[in-house]
Parts: sequence; structure tokens; C-alpha cells
Amino acid sequence: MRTSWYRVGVSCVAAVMLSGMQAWAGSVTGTIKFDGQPPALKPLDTTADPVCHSKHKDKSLPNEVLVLGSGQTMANVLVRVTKGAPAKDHPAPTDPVILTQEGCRYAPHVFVIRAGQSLKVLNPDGILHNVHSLPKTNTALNKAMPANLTEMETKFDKVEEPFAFKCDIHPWMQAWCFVTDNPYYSITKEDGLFNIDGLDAGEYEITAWHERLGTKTETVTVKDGEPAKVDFAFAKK
Amino acid sequence: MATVAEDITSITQVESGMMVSRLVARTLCAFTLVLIFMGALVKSHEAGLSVPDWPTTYGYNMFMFPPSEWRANVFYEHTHRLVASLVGIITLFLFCWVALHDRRNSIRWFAFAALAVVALQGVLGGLTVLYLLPAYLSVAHGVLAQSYLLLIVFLARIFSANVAPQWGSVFKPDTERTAHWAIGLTVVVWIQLLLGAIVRHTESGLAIPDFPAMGGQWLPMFDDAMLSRINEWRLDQTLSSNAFLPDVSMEQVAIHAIHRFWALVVLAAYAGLLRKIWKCRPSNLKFKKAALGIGILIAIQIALGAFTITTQRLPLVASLHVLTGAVLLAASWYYALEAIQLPSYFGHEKSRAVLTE
Repeated sequence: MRTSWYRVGVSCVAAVMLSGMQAWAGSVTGTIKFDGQPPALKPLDTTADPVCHSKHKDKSLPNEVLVLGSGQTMANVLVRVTKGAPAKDHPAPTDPVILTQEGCRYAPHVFVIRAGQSLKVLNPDGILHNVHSLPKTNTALNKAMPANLTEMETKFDKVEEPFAFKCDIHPWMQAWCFVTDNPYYSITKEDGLFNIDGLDAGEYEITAWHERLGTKTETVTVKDGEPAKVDFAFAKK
Repeated sequence: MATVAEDITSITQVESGMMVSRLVARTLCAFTLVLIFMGALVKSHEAGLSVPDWPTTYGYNMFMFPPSEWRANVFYEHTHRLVASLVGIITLFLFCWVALHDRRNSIRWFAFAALAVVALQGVLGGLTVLYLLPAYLSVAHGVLAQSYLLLIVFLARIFSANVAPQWGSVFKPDTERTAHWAIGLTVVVWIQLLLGAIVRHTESGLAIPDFPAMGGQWLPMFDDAMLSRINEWRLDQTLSSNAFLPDVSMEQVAIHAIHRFWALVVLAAYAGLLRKIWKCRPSNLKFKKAALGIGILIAIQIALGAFTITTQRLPLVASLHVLTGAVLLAASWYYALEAIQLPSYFGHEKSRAVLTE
């Protein structure tokens, strides 16, 4: 019995150390910032649908085309490995990715889904929405979500560069979807930080994508025992 | 052998039948213009897929779709479908009426063609929805609407008995050449509307965002510097307004530029027509006024085109630009039909001659 407890203990410690080493040794981190004078974005005009408008009586719906944090760090930037990703098999997670339509706004604004993974679209608004994806490689989705349809599921089978989701009824509603076959990506929040882990030692091409400011690419070398760091700065061209 | 009294009775019936045909055809012209305007509103609001099913509307029979759901962009698409249905029904009525009351086979065939075109247009509209608005289908849908308008104007002219003799006599000396210029203007305007449809459905409407200069140049060079300036402006607009304007390609810039250059061809064709009319019959005020009316339409259309750009495609302005284009096409075509004295080719003059005897 004592031997058994001893083995479990040693295994746990080893597992923690190994997983810690992997994250510590093979990751790319950094910050995304916006250079230059930040634009004064106008709030979105939702008056076309009185129900949507009534949901934003107190606070207008912000335009999410450029979301900045303090120090002009950027949210909604997709950072991913575009060259050198480990050629391993990465089965798609069984949990669905959630895209919700609340207050006539898509959340999240930028999301990643694995090829074959389920996408669950929610409609807590209780009004008519139209979910329209605009992929070039995958089959486009164009489904009505009436008030009584609170959720539906779909999936995309092929890897594809970011493409838009829109609601044709409420033209201000927009989200961006990236379909990938690996876990080597990160989406920034308002603090602009990203972290891609699970990488072996080696050279990688890292690309940061923003829906309107385009892409930035850098090459980094991940060494054993030391995380690589790369920062990106976007600006108006 | 029919007596004169029987002839007169017969011709009176033809005249009254034609009066109904004329009224219906003119009503159709008006409704078709309304429909084209509503179609333009659909595109201007990007509402084409706000009703994602067809021929149903969110699973309802379209006539039973509850008005409480006609909100935001659904309003534009749904009302467009309802008015389209009305135009289809009126066309069906016109065909039935002509088949029963007009003895001229050629006119029956034209009425049938109108019915076939309106049915095809309905199916095309449905396909644009089911195939998620591919540009080629949307352009075809837009252009077929204008072509249907030509057909209905033609029928309206054929049924307009009272106008031909007055204007026909005016044109006798040089009818043929004037008709050629008027038909030429119609063809040139139709091509301009085709180009306009391509501009709209390839998202090239603001591919050149300034007017009358193009990409900051009076003589556009279509080089990388021009494209770069245009895309910088589009980025600025995206970050300062609610319009999401992605970068455009040089192809989109070229499509937009061709639409502008073709406007000069329309002007040249109109100038040619005007010169011919003044040369032929400088004393005829009525015909001159009609020609000047077309000129005013062209001026309004160019101004609306400029406003469409300066207002960044404000939906109402862009839709009025489409509507004025359709009115210009119809006016040019009606003018051409006057010049070539079509009724005499379809036996109407013969009917009137018998009546006069």
C-alpha cells in the first residue's frame, strides 16, 4: 500500500514538472499595440430595429472594429503560427465553440474553431436574427434564427483564413471566424497579450491578424528552456 | 364580306380593348419603376439575405408573414418581394387581356414574352437568395429588370393610339436617322445600367471615393500609388464612421472607372441625338422639349452619381441613382419608339384607316 502511494506521488510530481517545462520551454508570448493617434470611433446606429435600440438605451453599442486597452494595447487580434507548427495530430475538441447574439451584437467578436468542431450559435435576444457566414472554402451558412429558436449548431470542415459572420437583418452585427487544425493560436483581449504554448524548440513564423489593419508577420526561435517573445504594432497604413 | 357597320363595331371593340391594355401597360411601367427602386434599396441596405428562404419568408407564405416582423432590413427585402408579386400578377392579367382582346399575333407574343421575363426575373431573384447573392446572378437580376422595363414600355407605346400620328408626321423627313440615334442612346444607356449593376454587385461603388477626380488625380494613372491612396482613404473611413470598407483591388477600381467613362459615352450619344433633332425639325417645340427632358434626366443622373460617392453610398441617394437610370432608359426607349413609328408596323394604323373610312 505504501509503495502504491509513493508511485502515485512521484507520477504526479513528474507530470506537473513535465507539463510545466513544456509550457515554459515551448511558448511564444508578446503584446499587440496600436501605433499612432487612436481614432474616435462612433457608436453603432441600431435605430433600424427598435427592439435592438431599446437594449442599448443607456449605453450605445460600441463599434468593435478597433478595441484598445490602456497603453493602446489591442484586443481582437488573432495571433497564430503560420510556419513551422509541429506536425502532430490534433483532434478537434468535443466541446462546442459558443457564438452568442446578445443585444444585437455577436460575442465573441473574433473566435477560432477547429476543423470539424461544433459551433453553437445562441440567440438569447428573443428576436429574429439571420446568421450568415461568408467563407470562401467552407460551405457558407445562411440560417434564420427566429425568436423561438434559441440555439443551433453547425461546423466547418476545412481549414480557412478568417472570414466574416454577419446578420443581414442588423447590418452592424459582425464577427470573424478562423478555422484551424491545430491549437497554436491566441486571441488578444484588451490587455493585448497573447501566449501560444505547446511548441517544440525551433523556428516559427508568427502572424498577427486584425480584421481591418491586415497582418504582421515575424519569425521567432523557440529555444529549450526559454520562451520566445515577439511584439507586434499595427498602425493606419 | 363584312359591312362598314360591322367594321366600325369591330374597330370600336379593338379601340376599347386597347384602352384597357394601354392603362394596364402604363400601370406596369409605374410599378416596375417602383420595383426597381425597391430592389435598389435592398442592395443599398445590404438586405438581400435578410429573408434567407425563398419562395417562403421565414417559413411563411410570403403574404402571411406577420407585419410585426417587418423590421430593420427585413422590411426592404420583404416589401420588394411583395411588390414583385404584384408586378407578376399585373403582367399575367395583361397577357390574358391581350390574348383575349387583341387580334394581332405579334402583340400577343410580346405580351407572352413579358410574362415569361417577369417569371424568369422572379426565379432569378429566388436563386440570388438560395445561392447567397453571387455577383453574376445579382447582376443578371438587376439587368433583366431593366430589360423587362423596355419590354413593358414597348407594349405601352404600342397601345398608345393617340400619340403616333402627331409625332409621326413630325418625323417623316428624317425619321430613320433620328430613330437610329434614339435607339443608339437607349443601347448606350442600357450598357451603362449593366455597368452600374456590375459596380454595385462587385462592391465597387466606393472603389474610387472622390468625384470628379479619381483617387486624387484628374487623369487617373491606375498605378499602385493610386490604389494605395484609395485604400488609405477607405481605412480612414472605416475608423471614423460606421462603414466597414475593406481594401479594394485594382479590378474594382477599373470597374468603377469604366462606369464613369461610359457616362461620357452616354453624353456623346445624347449630344448626337440632340444635333440630329435640331437639324431635322428646328421648329418643333414639343419634340425639342422631350429631348431636353432626356437631357435633364441625364444631368440629374450624373449629379446623383456624384452624390452617391460624396455621401458614401447613402442608401436613399444610391437607390435614386438606380431609379433615375431606369427612368432615363425608359424615356430614351419611348423616344426611339416614337421616332420609328412602331404602330404602323403592327397594323394599328391600318385599323385607324378603316375606322376613318
